Amino acid sequence: MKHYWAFLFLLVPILGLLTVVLAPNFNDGLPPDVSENGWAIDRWFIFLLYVAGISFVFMECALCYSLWHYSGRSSREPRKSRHGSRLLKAAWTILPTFVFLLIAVYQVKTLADAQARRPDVPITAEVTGRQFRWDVRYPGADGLLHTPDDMVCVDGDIHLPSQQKVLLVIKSGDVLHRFSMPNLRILQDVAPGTEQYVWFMCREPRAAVDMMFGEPWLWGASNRKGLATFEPDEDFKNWLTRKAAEQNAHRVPEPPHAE
Amino acid sequence: MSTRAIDSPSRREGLHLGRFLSTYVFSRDHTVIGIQFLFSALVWFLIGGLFALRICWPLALPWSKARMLEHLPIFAESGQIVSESYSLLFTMLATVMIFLVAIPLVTGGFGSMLIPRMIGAEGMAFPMLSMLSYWFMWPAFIAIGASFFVVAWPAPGWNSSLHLVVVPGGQVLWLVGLTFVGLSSMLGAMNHFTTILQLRAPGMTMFRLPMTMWGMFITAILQAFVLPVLAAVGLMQLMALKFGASFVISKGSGASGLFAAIGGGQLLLWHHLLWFISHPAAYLVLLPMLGMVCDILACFARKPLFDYKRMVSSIAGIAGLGFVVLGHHAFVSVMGPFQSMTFAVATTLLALLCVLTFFNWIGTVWGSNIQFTTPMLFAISFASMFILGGLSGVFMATTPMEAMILDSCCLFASFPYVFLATTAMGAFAAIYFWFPKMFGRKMHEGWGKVHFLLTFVFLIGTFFPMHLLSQQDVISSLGELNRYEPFGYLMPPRPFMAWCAILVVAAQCIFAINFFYSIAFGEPADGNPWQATTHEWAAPRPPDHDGHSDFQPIVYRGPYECGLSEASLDYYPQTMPPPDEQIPLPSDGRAGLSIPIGGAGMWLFLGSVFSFFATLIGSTLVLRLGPAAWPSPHDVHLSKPVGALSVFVLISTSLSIALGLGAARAGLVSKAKAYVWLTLLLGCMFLGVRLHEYLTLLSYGIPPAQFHGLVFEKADLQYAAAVRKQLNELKSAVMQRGDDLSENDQSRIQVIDHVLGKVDAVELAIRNEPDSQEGFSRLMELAFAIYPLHDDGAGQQPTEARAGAGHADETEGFNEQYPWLRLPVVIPGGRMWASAYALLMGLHALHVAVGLIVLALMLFVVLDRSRANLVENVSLYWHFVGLMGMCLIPLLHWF
Repeated sequence: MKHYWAFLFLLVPILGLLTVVLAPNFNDGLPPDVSENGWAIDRWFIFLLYVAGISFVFMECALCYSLWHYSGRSSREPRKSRHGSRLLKAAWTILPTFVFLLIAVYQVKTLADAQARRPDVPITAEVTGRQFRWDVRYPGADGLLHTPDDMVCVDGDIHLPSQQKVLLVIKSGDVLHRFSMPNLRILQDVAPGTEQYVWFMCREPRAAVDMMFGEPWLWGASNRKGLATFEPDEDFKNWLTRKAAEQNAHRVPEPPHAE
Repeated sequence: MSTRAIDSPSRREGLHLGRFLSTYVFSRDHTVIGIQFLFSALVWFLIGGLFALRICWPLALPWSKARMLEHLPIFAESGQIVSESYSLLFTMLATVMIFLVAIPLVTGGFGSMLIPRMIGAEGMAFPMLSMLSYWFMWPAFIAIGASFFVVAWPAPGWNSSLHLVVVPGGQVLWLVGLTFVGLSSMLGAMNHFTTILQLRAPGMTMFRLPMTMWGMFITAILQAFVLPVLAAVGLMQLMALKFGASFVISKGSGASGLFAAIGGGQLLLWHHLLWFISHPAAYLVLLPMLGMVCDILACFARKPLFDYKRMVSSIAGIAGLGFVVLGHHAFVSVMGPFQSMTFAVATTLLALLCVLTFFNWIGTVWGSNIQFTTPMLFAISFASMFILGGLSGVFMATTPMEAMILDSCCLFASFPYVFLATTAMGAFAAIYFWFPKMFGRKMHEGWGKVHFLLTFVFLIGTFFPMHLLSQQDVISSLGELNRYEPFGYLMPPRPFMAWCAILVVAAQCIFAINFFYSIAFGEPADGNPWQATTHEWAAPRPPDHDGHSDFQPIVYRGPYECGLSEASLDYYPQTMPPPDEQIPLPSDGRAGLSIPIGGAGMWLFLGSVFSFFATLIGSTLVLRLGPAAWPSPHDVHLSKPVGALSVFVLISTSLSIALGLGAARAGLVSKAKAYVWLTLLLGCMFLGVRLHEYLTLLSYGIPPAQFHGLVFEKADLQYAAAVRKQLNELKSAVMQRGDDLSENDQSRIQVIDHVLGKVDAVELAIRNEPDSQEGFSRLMELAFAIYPLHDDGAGQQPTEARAGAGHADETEGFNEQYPWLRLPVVIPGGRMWASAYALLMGLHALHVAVGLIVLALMLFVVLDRSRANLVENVSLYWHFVGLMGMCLIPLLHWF
């Protein structure tokens, strides 16, 4: 009976192994990547999955083997050495230290390549989070934000040009907001009073991806889900022109100044 | 007659009642207090379990009706959970499980029960503090319990983002509750630290302590430095909610208009402080559990713990690194790649220590003789699950990856799996293991194993599928996953996980029945039923309620002397002397440091207070050096000479109390008392100066908003309207006196009309040119005429406003010329400054007042040599208060 407990604990590494083996094939792995830099992040994920998975299975199997092999012996039987092998201790200290530190230092390159240097392109749009919607403000013909020819959308959806760098300014109008596009491997928090920049490039000519807004534990968070539509530059400009015309048609004329 | 009175039934009942209360309710016996903590935690565990079930329901079946809960308004509307309820339940689940179950159970319950027995002490160093640490939990139970029933629960979510508060009632109760949890834990921490450091039995050196004691000792230090930060940030939030202070409120932020009028703080400051607290706070529970699991593994492996000293350093390392990994929770806020790398390295080192700890556990069971008892099974499952958390930490530490898995099932699998599930397994192991020590009986082994099997299997069923789901960025805690169409396919595993969670909770019924049945009818256990080596099994049982016994232990060996090939016995208890070896004992018997017991506790207490003030001072510096405006001391009527006088008085008090200590040590009783008198008088003088300064600020309307503050951040139309409102009220008050106005009244009317004329001019200018600079300049002139600034807070002299104000005396505004006006004033950054001043100086004055009360009480004591330790502890406190004053006063008066 005593050995059966060891088999019970074997359940954990078996499940771990299944996770490592099955995970990349589980519904095509991570959300479909349509971004320029997403492959680098995905590569990290798969690499870490294998490093952590193999380590996990190895350690759990070692535990299970000990449980199986050393259970039910006579209490008088002498036990093995108290302090173990110095070589073994040195090995299991140095090897994981080396691997873990290598990961910690090397991963910064991926981040730096993707996010450290803001591209020298004009701002495509300003996105402001509010409870419970996101306002998107596009610069008008003058290319500047917060001028009278700006175009503002408040329906939660966003249109962006594909196959070119997109630079967004993210702001918050009230609370801490989270702006996330999983298919572009973008996630950014923004606090009130601050502004953040995110940039990315959709490599597909046309794509419609989910935007997951807000912090999920907040009530009403799901009301802020949105759709980002990527389209070729010409279509994007046509869409902007059409929306600007709609907006101008509804614009209330400014009242005359009081004399 | 008197004898008859003593023997009267009512008197006897009174004696019985008094004894009952002192023995079982307000007991100072560590075992009773431990059991009180244990039972309270188990009751809240039941409540938390029900919350967990309620949360599982919508995860598995979104928008389905839970008919059983249809009539409970706080859980559901028509049996359905709505987003608001879901968010609140999520918050309360975390609150209950962490603050009312895990921390009280581990540090309060096991700490109180085990520490004196495992180190060979008669009781805790401060029995009164032990009792208080339990009873300070009750205000927390009541406040957090009551927060369920107020109009607005603690609505800001689990990370207590204040800007989400719409109605503050529930949040205030929640904060009050957490403050008492912190207070209780701090008292416990001081007690645990001092007891382990100072009351060890002869021969119990630090490296003969069982790992459980190392876990408790390091946790006590962690508590002493982490929980004051929690208290400080809780106070900041309370100040914001109740008094209009703004440390953590950014200008213009908030889901409601609740904080529209305040601003100047930084929301990110709150989030960084939150993670500074929260990451080490998880270790308050985990570290003692690591120690307990080490002891249980070694006991049932019948083999010494592998590499004891490295295990100690691993636990200490995990505790230390816990303070410096806060950044990995904020990779997606405002952090550059190289800042991220710093935190990533710290986090991977943490993961590394977890891995090394696991290797040591494997080393312990390797070549051993394992006994699969119920506590051993739970301890092995702890180890097995713990490593999963350690390795998932590598994902959290990798910045590009963590941004992807944030809020995903992977994170959700990692934290509750490690923190809640693993901790629960460790707690069960500890309860089964030490149950004979608590109640003199063993829990039923067979049912214990059934309990283990069901709990282990269903916990795996609950959490392991989340690692598969984590491949997609799934919002784990969202009750409405089905609204995200791309993730609809992820729904099928959710009912399976939810049912597993329900079965985990159901399995605990077996534990509850076994627990209560075994208390009454369990198999009687002799003194050492597990043949364990650690010291507590040698101590007498049942426990002595007075905390005293004739048992005088001496420790001769380490805690894990068993299973040695050369040994004639399978195990050697720590109290068993070696046959032919004499161990030199400390000359005074006990193995503690050669400082007074109270002194050790006082140093840790001062460390706690330092942590508390450091948080407040650090936050003030962050805001002071941030982009927001900050007024110069002159513009808020702080006087540098008054500040200098205060510092001088404080230094003088430190000198006088030091002289008093010297006199007490020399046995000069009257001289010592004279110095205490002098310190008391100087302390009162210091408080008098502080009071005068505060009254001055009050007269200028500079305190926080709810303390009659009149400060506006900028001159705008709201400001002009507030000025007009005040002037109209003053005028109507004067006019109500009738037609026969005195000269004084008439002159007042003239002044009011004069200022009203200025307000009219400003409003007219703005109406004509809404967007022009002219209107803004007029507003600035009005503000300057009322309250002239010497510095606009951004380092620029408001010369134009000064010139435009047309005031006779540039240094005096209307408010100063006519104090009865009390018009609103414009001080950029003034609200933030007023909040900081009120909080920092108020708390410092409170500490001074406490010190003065203690000094006053010392006047009734004969301060001879025998009381020198008392004087030393008080003087330590007083020096520390003085030191804090010397930091705070220059910070506000000169900086």
